[in-house]
Amino acid sequence: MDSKLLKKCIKGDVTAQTVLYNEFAPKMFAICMRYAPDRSTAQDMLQEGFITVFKKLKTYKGEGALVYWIRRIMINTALQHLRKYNNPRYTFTDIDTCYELNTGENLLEKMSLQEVIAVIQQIPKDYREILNLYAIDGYSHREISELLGITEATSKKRLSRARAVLKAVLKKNEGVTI
Amino acid sequence: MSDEQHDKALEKSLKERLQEAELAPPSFQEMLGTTGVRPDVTFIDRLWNVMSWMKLGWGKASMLFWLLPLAMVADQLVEKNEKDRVNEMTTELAMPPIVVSKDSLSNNAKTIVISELADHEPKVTGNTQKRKAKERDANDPIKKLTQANKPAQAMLEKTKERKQETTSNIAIPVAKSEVVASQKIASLSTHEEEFLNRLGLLLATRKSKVSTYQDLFLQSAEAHMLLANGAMEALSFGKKKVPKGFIHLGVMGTRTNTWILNQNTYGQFGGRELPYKTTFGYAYGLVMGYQSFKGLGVEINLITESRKGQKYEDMIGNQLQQRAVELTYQELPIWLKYRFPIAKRKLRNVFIGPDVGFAVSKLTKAEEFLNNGQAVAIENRFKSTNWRVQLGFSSDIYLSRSWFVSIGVRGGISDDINANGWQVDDNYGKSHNLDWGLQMSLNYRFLRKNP
Repeated sequence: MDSKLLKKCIKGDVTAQTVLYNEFAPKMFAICMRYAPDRSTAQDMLQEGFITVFKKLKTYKGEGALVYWIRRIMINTALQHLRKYNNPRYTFTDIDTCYELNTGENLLEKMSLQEVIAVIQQIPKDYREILNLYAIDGYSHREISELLGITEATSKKRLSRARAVLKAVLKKNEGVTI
Repeated sequence: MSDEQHDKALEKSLKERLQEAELAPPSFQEMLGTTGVRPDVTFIDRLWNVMSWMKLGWGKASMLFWLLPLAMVADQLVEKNEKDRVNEMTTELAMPPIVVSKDSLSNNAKTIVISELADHEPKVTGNTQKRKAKERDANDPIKKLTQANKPAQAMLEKTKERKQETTSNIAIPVAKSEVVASQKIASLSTHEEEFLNRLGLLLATRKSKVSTYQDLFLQSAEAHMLLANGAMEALSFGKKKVPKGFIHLGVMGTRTNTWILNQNTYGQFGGRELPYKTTFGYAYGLVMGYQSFKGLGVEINLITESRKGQKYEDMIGNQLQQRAVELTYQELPIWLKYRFPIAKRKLRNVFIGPDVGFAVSKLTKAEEFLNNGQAVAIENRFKSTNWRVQLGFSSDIYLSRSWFVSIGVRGGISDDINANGWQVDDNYGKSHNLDWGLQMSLNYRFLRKNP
């Protein structure tokens, strides 16, 4: 990304900020949709995330690609938003029964992107976070423990449960068109 | 396939589908509005922006602050010169050596003579020196005075006849300062004149008749002592100190009446120019300066926010049309000022005087409001930097030795504020920011320790 454009964004130039937003918003919105339980929450996360990006842009030193720097900010913003508006939606029964299922990966290939994201959104918040951070965004358990303020052991445990829940949700959604 | 393998395959599939996925987001305007995200700017950021714009790094900017100590050094040199002049003057005003016949003096006079003789040796005049002495006599102010004083004149004639006399028989009857006081000397300062007038007054209160040689001498001696004691008091501000220059720091605020001369509506309202409506603005920031004891001073204001602009209003048809342009600047005014006391006795702590200077302004925000609607950013219509000239008249009111309040009316006018691309129309007229108002600042004086 052009350094002149970044300087203009830092100064608050609307045109420059629009260009940067249009460049990265599609990817970031997909990330927000994965972390959020619904579209409106994802939009809130996107808005907060980009506000943070533009305010902190002067701290970006050029180490690593800008997209990864923005991605980190977006994920952190999403996690903070979820912490603020905690809305768990799961029952104890679901967790117990889903360990017996071994399905999923073939089903995912048949689903559209929107359908996959909808599946992810059905997973309870704590498990959804772990799944996104570990399985999709590539964070280690150590990094996850620092981000979420939990121990590594808890992170591993939640991941195990998250996998099981995902399978249960996929099974539940089998044949359901979104 | 084991459970673990299943899980890994599932996660791999998730990653492939979702890691680089993209979805159509809401528009920028929907998310962040028309004005985008304004960066958080601290005072240091604003200061750095102004300095960067002026191509001043911290190194170069620090040079501006070196001007203040340099001004102090210059002032100290002037002050030293002034002190030397004072010393020279008091020495000049002091009496020449007085020697008299010890036998002819009273006991009181003897005491004085002995102390004088301890310090001074009289000169014996030869032929060449006599001629020179005669030339000096012709211009000697003492001679002029003694001409009016017969006993003194008689004594002086007597001493003239005695050549190669011993040190015990020469008398110089009066203080030189008495003559000086009767002549107008243009180079004297106000305080020197005051002192000399006071001395003259004191001497005039004494009885004018001098009946004996001793009385004449005593009168001279008394004048000498008055000189010695009175010089410092007369030449100080009442605290026996020579006035010094000082650095001052403070905070300032201004409430202004602001105008944009020659508006440009750019086709709005059917191309019609709307009448002005009284508009107020403000400014605030830091003050630093150096005030010389001679009255001249330099002041720099670091204005972090200065609001200018113009409101317009008119009835078009049956509808009230309103327009407002708000311009926000960071400014760096530099003032040259002169201060003098308004009265000697009353209100001694009040100094007033004119201010003149120039400023550089940096545009940080420009917005237009139409009929109380939402703000529309219009920075592109204006230049990012402007120059302005400014005038003012202020008073410095000293609350104590260290604190003073400065209150005054200051204003200025800028150059054309329209950006190059917006200087359109056949009859283009430049737009200028004009503002004036009441400025107040609270300042702290950094006083040097007394020597």
